[in-house]
Amino acid sequence: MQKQKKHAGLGWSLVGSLLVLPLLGLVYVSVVEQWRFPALFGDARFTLRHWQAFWNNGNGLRGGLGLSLLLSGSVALSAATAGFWMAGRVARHPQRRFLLGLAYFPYLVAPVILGVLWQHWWVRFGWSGTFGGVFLAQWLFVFPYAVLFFAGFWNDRFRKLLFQARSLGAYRRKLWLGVVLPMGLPWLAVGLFQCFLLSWFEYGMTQLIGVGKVPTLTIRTVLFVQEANPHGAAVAGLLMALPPLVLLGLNRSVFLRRVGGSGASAIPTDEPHAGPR
Amino acid sequence: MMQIRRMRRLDPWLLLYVAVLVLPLLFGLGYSLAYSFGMIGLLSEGFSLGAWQRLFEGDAADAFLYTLALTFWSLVLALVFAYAASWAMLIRPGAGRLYPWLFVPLTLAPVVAAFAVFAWLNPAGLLSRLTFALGVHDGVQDFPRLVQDAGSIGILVVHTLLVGPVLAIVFRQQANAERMPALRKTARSLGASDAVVFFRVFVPAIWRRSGAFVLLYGVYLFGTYEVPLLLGRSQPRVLTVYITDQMTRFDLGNLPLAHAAASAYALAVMILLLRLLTRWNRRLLQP
Repeated sequence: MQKQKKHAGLGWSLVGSLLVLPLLGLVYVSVVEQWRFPALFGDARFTLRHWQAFWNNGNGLRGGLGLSLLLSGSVALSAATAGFWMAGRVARHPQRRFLLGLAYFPYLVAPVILGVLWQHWWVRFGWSGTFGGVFLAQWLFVFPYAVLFFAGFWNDRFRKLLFQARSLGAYRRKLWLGVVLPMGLPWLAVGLFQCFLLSWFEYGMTQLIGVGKVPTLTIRTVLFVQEANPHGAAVAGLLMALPPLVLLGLNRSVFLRRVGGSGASAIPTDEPHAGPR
Repeated sequence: MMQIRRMRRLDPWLLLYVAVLVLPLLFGLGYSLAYSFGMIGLLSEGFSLGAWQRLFEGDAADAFLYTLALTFWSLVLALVFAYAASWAMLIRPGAGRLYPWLFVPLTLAPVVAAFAVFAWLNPAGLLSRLTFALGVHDGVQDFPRLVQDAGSIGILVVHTLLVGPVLAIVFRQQANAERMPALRKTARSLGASDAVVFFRVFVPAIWRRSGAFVLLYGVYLFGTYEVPLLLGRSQPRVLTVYITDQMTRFDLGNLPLAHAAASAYALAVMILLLRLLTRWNRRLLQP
């Protein structure tokens, strides 16, 4: 019986591993060259040339990686800290539902459409095609997400705890250093990474607001595809998958959006049979 | 107490918060609406409804209907995947092994997922080569068109790959939160078959908990851009691609149309969202 069960699990692992195929395909395409039709393994030419080109920044990929890391890192850091703090203010307000509802609007209108709506203003203020301009545009839809995410932390129970701490004499600084930050730290970490990913995955708005002058990795990937260079696109795609894969290894709850009251999630109980919240 | 309340209502930081959320949308929408009615712009000739009339005929209407259909079918496929996977993880002993794999596609940006699927499914791609090596077909011409195809198969595959696993993960967590294993056991011992448990207990219970979440993903899919850009045909196009096409054309006469379509899209999403927020109020707005 035990053996049979183990066997069944193996089958399911196989089914699951199908989900890795897209990534494996990218790895393969990034190490072949002169890839004429039937060539697959025996008659294909394997090379590390595409990776060397990345390393020597021959195709601007290393620069793109640095730019993307800088942009997404700064967007995430500022949006997550501001969102954490603002979510607390929102959650303590009597009109919190209304205030929270507002945050859904910029977050859910597709970023590329926001880019269309904002393009004129960005051009007028001279922000178009600059790092700062793209940063601001991305921040304006990542920040609302951060607020929605951290609102889950400032829930009823936590607000009551704060009230208790305050009535026991904790003053402002003590409240933040002694209660809010220690309890909020795991939330901050997950929220930070989620904001990072939102910005990291963004293409349409960056293209419209950056007009090609802020060549992040997503922009580079599409450029490679358009100039029919699958190998370059595969390298760029893998570079983009790398940070999320590292995050996945560290903590997979990073990938669970906590919007839409999906009950479970961000700081999740991964254990089976966890009771309702 | 009154004093404190009044102070909170006038919290300047919250005023700033509202401004940051609302003003960019209002300014963007205001400009685009004005442009679409011909009130501003290089070729403006005063107020006209021309762009909005053109929105309801020909290309724009096609793009809208196509996007709607694509969103619907993507969501259906993702739901089928998610319900099947979470149900399997509930009833099959070894299927829990599936769970960690579900996170892998979430590391892919839509751009990357689209390109990876392209690398697999294009006529000279990996799948074509593998099947050719196995002697299934006789070369590129013989391989069915799976990307940039009439049936939008490539786009649907990517959407399912990106959204299906997310929903499956959430559904599994919800199933555990609902104590689904115990519920199933009870229902079974009362004589219900597994099919009955699935349709009468599992599906509705999960939907009650995560319907709002799923519908938000519907809104997300409605605004999909990169995937159809890389894997779609030039005709029909999804709304977002249609709009950016009109924006970047040399012919300036199409700009009012682009602005009309963009503002119509934004307004539609906002109205839909308003409906969702009032309907699923408790789920969406409970901090």
